[in-house]
Amino acid sequence: MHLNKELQRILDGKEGIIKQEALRSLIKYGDAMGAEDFVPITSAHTSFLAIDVVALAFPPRKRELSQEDIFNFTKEMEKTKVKVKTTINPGFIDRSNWEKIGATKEISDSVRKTGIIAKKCGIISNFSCVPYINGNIPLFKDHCSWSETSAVLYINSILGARTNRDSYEISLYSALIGYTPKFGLHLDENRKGTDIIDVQCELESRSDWGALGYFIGDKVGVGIPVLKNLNRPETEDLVQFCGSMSSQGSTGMFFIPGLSPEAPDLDSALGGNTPKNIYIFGKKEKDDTYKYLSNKKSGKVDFVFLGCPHKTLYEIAKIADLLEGKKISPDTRLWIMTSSSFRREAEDLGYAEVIKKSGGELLSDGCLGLYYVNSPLNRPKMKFIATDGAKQAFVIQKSFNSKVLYSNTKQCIEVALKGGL
Amino acid sequence: MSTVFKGKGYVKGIVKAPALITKERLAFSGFINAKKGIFDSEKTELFGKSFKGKILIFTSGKAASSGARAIDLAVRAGNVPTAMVNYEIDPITVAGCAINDIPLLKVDDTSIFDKVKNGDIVTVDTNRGEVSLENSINNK
Repeated sequence: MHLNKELQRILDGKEGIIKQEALRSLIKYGDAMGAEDFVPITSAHTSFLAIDVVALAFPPRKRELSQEDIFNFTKEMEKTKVKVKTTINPGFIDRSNWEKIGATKEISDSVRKTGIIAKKCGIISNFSCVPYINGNIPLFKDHCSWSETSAVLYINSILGARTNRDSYEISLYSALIGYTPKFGLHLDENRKGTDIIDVQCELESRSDWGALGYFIGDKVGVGIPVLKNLNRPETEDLVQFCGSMSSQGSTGMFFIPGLSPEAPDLDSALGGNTPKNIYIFGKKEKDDTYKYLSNKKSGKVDFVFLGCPHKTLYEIAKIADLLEGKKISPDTRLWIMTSSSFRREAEDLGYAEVIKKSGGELLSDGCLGLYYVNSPLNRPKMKFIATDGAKQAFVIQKSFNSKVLYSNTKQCIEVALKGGL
Repeated sequence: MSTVFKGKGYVKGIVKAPALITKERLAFSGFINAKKGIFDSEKTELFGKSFKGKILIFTSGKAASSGARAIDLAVRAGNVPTAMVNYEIDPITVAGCAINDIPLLKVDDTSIFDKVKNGDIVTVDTNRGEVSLENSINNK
């Protein structure tokens, strides 16, 4: 790969061993993908939750890192600054309410210590899976290196920014270097639709958008779907759509003609490509997706989870409206998940109080999957969970051995109030 | 007589090992147990199967950004797939293979999924851009 003077300096170790190793790995990645050049980036979104996990992205590449290895890595990392705006994905605890989710002080302290290291590196520890709403908002044609596959879909397709589906390691390396290998979705010629999704049913709720995303992810794989015959979404519909598509597929972008900045119409979305497949998403496909995501239809529900991806302030306000003056069932927990910045605003604006009075919890920084999959935390009882997040419904079915109902937000709230359905 | 599947090398290497094959798209994060070196999700037909020392052939990677880390954890635990072969390329799988020097090759068509069976000995040669199957155990 071609290296400019700045990159050559980094490769020569003039900016420390962390950046040198980061660039070595980016060159391996770029070489594998056939990239000839690096492209400067304006932002990164990565993961930086526990320093012993971050250390795994760097040498020594041995079976178990010793305390000494982690100490040495931390010392080097603290001296190393990212070169661009860098935010991070949700983590495995709620930093402000760690007791409520079953974490220990020891775990909380380790997350806090990693946060201090992140701050020294210039990384903004916002713990958000929707940073493009609040915290890290790329502009049209900005080159970026983002992880969080749902956020990758959103910034490519709705903001017209440019990132590949980068793994956590790659986005951290790119943040440190300020460049990323130029291939794939960084190039005009690869940003063309490959398949058409003909939507032949009404999308009546946000969870219908989730079902559509799940359907597409499963069908299209690495292609770039172009959506036809859609009613115009709200921002939050697209957040749900991207979240669910990312849980199934490998696609990094889609086009909604008339909405995606690069595609004023269907022809420009396809960019001269003949579509490989035309998939119809009608009522049957929608119903089948709900059936696939739900494995129980009625009974006592002991857990209701809203907020995958993280709820926006607008959605929290709407949920507070539905809960105002009501009490959820004493046998049911209701958790609403958001980023810590939206949680604080919701507290200031009184929405959090309404949720609390109803018996629900407004939590931040994570999600059920992150809190409880392969985790030391004690998971609350979750025999039958209702959720409005398709990605979460999938994770729960896969990992918790719980029954799941996937439904819209309004029905999930009704279930929480009644204790079942 | 060997059957040759043409393609393109992504991460370099020439290796020979038994195949572990599925037409599915695979997620690594949440689907594998790195310490045991097996697929431990019932959402894949490879559930319970070991990928250590195998040439893992599948349509493409999918889902979470943490997939490359999952591959890395398996490698650190000594459970290294000998190579990977894909029909479509997902950058997250490429990152996992590139960082860990696991040879990765993309085949040009899907015929490999009809002809190679689990346990068949295959050779991946990224210099020649091909996977070759010498003698399917299925035909013995």
